[in-house]
Amino acid sequence: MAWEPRLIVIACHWCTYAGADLAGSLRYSYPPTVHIVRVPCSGRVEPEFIAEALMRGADGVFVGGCHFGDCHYKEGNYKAIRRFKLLKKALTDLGVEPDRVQLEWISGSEGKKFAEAMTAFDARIRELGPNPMKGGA
Amino acid sequence: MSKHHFKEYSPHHPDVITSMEFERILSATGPTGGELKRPSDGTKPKTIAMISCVGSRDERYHRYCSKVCCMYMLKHARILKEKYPDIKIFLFFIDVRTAGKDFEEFYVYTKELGAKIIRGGRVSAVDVKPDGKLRVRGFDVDLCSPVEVSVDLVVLATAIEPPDGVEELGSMFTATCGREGFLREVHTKLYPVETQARGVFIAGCVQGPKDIPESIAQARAAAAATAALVIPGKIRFEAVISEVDRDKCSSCGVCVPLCPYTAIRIVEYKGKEKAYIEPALCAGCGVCASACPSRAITFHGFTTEQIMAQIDALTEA
Ligand code: FES
Repeated sequence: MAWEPRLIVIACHWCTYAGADLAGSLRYSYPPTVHIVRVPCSGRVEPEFIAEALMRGADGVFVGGCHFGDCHYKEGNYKAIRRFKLLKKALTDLGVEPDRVQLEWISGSEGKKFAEAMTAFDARIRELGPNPMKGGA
Repeated sequence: MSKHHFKEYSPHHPDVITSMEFERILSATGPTGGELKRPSDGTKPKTIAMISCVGSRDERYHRYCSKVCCMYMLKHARILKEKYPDIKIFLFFIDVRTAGKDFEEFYVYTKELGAKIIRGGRVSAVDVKPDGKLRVRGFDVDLCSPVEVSVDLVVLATAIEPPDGVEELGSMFTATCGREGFLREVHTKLYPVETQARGVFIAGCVQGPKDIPESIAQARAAAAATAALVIPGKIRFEAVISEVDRDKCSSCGVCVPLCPYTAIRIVEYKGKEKAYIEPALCAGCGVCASACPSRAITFHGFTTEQIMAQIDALTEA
């Protein structure tokens, strides 16, 4: 069977998750490779979540949060971006393409943006090919 | 706002005053005992110009509309016209905003009393003529031409501004100010009196320019919201909040400054300093749980185990 990427999307409840909902109700389509995990805020995302997903063979991990100034908990997204930058560095050091992970701000009203971001992310991961850690670790 | 910001309106002249000062002159308990006298020589002015949007709707000062000026200018004109029908009144507006119950009627009635309304852009200048009169220059869209009037008294409807120190006041209980410097409500429509800080409510002009009925409505809403919290005698916590396992806590203190709600304190527990999350303050963002190096913080509802289990399930081949 041909390889299909498996994408994990960790979405903030207040924005990206709502954006995904909106994408659905507006009938924008996005790839079925996307699997969403809901968290209350992008600040809840532990780098370990992303690492675990990659280690378990996810081909890409996408984290979606609120735009700056819009975080429901004031500044969770600032904390998210800080952690995310460190994680990207660590991944590079470990030999994982940093492009396999992405952080993006998608609000609850941006259903279209959500669908587009998912489509673009899927395309990018297809270019990168399967996660080298798959089957290993 | 003070009149001294507006050099183009000859603020040094004693007969150029703000609406607040004019309000005092009209008041029976004011400095003139309610008698209409102009500040310079104590005579009764025969012609008065009032200028709206001084500092409001103006990129140089405040972009917002101060909301109450149109109506109080009409009110002043009406009081004057009812008391002294022979006085000439010119009201200069950018446009007249009379949205509100019975407000339009008020406007029509004031016009009927003989107050002259001049609409069309900002008054360009007020200057002092050699004979001591004040010359007001503006534009009238209805005539489609520039207009000029000579008056004895000029009243500036200056902008409502947030008071000094409101930002500091807000930061004392983690309530934030908006771009214009007024305290911000959580949601314009759904939570109009609540602030980011649970249990702190706002009402009146600290939240933005507003008139008396609106302030009262908001104040009553704030009072009711406060009562709803206090009267039961107990507080209901959210279920989705974080909790410290103090036996696991290594007392590093990383979580304390991270909390956007200042809900985390270091308190003594079994003779050691340990983190403690005040459940009434915690809003459930999970930032602390994600940051705790000892994994001593459980975020109920979104525990690390729960999220990991989801990730595991979704990555199952
Ligand atoms: S609530 Fe969406 S990022 Fe914090």
